Amino acid sequence: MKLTVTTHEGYAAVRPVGRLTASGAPRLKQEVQKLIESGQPRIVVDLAETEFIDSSGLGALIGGLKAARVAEGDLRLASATDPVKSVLKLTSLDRVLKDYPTAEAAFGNE
Amino acid sequence: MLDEDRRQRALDALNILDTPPDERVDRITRLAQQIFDVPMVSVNLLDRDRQWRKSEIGIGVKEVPRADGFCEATIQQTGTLVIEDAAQDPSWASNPFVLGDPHLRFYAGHPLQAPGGEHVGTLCMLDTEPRQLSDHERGMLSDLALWVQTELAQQQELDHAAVVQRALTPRNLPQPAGFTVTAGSAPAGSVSGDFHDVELRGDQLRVTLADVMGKGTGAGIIASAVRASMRTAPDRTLLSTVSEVDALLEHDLGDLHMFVTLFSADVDTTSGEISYVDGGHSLSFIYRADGTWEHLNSTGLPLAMGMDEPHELGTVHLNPGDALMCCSDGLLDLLDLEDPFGQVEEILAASGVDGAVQEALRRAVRGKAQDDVTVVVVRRDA
Repeated sequence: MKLTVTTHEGYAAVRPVGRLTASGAPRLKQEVQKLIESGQPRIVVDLAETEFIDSSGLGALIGGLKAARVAEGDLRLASATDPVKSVLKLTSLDRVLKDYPTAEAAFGNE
Repeated sequence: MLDEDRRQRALDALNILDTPPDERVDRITRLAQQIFDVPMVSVNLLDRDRQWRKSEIGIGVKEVPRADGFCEATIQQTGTLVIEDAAQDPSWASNPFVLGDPHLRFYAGHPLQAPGGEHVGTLCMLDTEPRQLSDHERGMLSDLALWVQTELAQQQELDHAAVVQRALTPRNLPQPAGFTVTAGSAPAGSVSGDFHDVELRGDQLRVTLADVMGKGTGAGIIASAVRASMRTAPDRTLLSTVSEVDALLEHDLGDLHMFVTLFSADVDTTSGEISYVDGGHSLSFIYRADGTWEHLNSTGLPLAMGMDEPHELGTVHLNPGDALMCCSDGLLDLLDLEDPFGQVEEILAASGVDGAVQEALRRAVRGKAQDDVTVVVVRRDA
């Protein structure tokens, strides 16, 4: 899994490319943590190129979401692919991890 | 010999005798053969009257009588036993393996200890040419022996954990009048992160299946805790039981970013009414007597998430001939990801509701499941 981090006006985007599983999840967690510590708790995880996610990947997203909220920010998803969307739906995690059409749209005008 | 009884008991407790080859031990044997460039390397366990080899290269024989072996001498002392040229050594020159086939000349062996320190076996290497072993090489041989003994002890711990876990799975499933209950599970490794429980409380059949994120020992510890928590305080409603277990898990596991998906249902065996809570598990189905099926949507988040999202109760009715089936997502690993539910349906059509559990577990073994597999089926008799 490759991971790129970009900073934008009002949010930062983390983009995992490939399969988000036990081997890649710790890196995602780490990057989210780094962003929060650097003072940016508004984070979009851009899933446009994430083809698969397993329970460890979900664990990393939830961990990131909690940490971001503690820092008075939020963690939101963007451009989830169909397989990822169906996992989020099956686990009911779509109730707390909101998916937006694009990374730019995730924090909109907030 | 004073300690032979204790030594034998320690060896028996390792449960290793006559077990199949283990890649983790074979790897060390191969490494030793390469490091020392010797034709023969072997991991030996000294059982009652025989020397049995867990792993060997270049010997080809699984066991020999214990009395004639060099290894017997190795376990009687501490440290590495080195015989540089057996033909020139008065204690060994007349040994049958020196005088006759394979005409051994060189031997170096280091004792393997059981967790209590008993010398239960050896890691040894052999050559048909005399040779010497430097202090540095002796150090390496003893390091490799320590590695072998760690692997053997770890396997014993896992085996023991597996036995304990099996004791926690229901052996005699309750079979309330008018219902047939089948269930089974297969761990991916020694210990499973899945658990299932079926319990009859009066007219209510409580069916629970949970899957802890990940697999192996860590997940198994959590699975045991969830099972116990679900069982305690049986007067609580299903909804408050799940909510309280969720809070407990969130408290314990929240920082680990682990979570548990869980399905738990109360089946009223007089009416067929089912009420259930599904915490992000979403792998339960109702198979109707007419061959159609319904997926039971999850009614809340997985447990240990701590997102302040309340759980909800779902209800569904089981008519005569219908069945409730729930499984862990390990089963989906074995199925066609494009159409997993279709394959579940196929298994059910081919094996029937009662055969589905056996068929799913058979696929788990054949397909070398990457994840733990658990299936529970409750059928209301037609």
